[in-house]
Amino acid sequence: MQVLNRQKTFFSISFIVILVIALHYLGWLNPVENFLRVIIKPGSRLMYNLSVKINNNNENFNSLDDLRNAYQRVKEENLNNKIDLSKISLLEQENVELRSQLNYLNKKTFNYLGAEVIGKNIDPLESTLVLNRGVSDGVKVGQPVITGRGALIGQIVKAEKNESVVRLINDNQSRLAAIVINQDKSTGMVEGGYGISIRMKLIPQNESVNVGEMIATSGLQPEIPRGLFLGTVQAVEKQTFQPFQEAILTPLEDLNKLTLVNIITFNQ
Amino acid sequence: MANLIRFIKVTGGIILLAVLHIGFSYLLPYPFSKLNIMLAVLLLILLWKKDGTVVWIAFFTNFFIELYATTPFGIILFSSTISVLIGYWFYQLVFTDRSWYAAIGLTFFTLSCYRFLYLVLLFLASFFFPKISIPWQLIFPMIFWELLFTTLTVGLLYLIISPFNKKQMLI
Repeated sequence: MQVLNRQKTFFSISFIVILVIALHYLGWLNPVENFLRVIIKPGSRLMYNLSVKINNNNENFNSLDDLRNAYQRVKEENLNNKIDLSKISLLEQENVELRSQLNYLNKKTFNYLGAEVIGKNIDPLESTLVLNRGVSDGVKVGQPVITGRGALIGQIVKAEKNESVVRLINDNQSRLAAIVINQDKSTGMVEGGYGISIRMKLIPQNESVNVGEMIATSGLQPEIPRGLFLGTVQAVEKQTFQPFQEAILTPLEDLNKLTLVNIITFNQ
Repeated sequence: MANLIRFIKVTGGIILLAVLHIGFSYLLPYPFSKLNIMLAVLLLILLWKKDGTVVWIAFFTNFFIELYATTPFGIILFSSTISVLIGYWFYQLVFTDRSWYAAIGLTFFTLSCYRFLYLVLLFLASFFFPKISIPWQLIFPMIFWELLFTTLTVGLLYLIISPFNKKQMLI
């Protein structure tokens, strides 16, 4: 008798769960789901901001010399960056002029939509963030998400009415066509799923890839524009018997401390 | 009136549990962030209250979690609700001695059941949703950390709270 009761309970609970799942896919639960999101949003935002504050550890130095050396290094980097910036702005102007002389037609123009990170996915097998922009703001699945400095952090994988979910570049399901900014312009595929680092695979064996070189999107994927920075090469793994080599990258931004991002929306 | 207050309490508790679960995974560093706080709290409720309402609490709390998941809707909801139901039956029939090691056994069993159902459903879903790729090389270390920290947490907390529960029973 007890076994029969248990079977009944099992089937009735399974039926209710399946019914809820079916109602979700039919879209009948949308009002309820949106209402629940509104309820949980402040709590999630509060906990996320708290975690960013707590985990945002300052860099520690063991001695005054260490601090002095680090300061010197930053000063030199800053100077180099200023020189690079002036060169880039000159090249940019030149590029605009040349394009206008060639009557170059821009097929796509980009718009940037600012978004706040209000949470992150808690499933241990995923690396995603929740943003406070959704379909009502023009967000669509597949749109790239960048930080203010132009580093790609991921792609939109889920868009709800007022929220969206971005899959980060270190997620195990993330795959991006990329290019190394070196002499060979080596192409490959950047994949996540290796903890905080990411890997660039399928780089031809005969091309030279060095530590410190920058990696950016190649533009081969229709929804991802060319030239969005992904990270710098931290190490190169090369085995003579393999047709391809691999590079381990460090993302330009700490993906655990993001608070504001930009979604790239296209105007066709 | 009493029913309304009870409803508000349970609803508030479910929202708090969902926020707590999300918050802990943000705050704790890896691998401690793999602790499944929601299942731990649900099992502690079961061990404390000893009734089946925990299955419905699991259902509603996981509904919140589903709203932010990128896996196809239903995988987390189904696997967690059914595993808590099976865990509840095992609590009644197998883990009956109400000790801290029975609490650990129950947690280990329920969590294993949850992850088994989750992986089976994810595998089946990968036939219908071609974008799903299951990272097998990552799944097992993650599940190991989740099992370790969740069972230890439930065992420890049960050890602390169980004397108070006995006193309550005597009153």
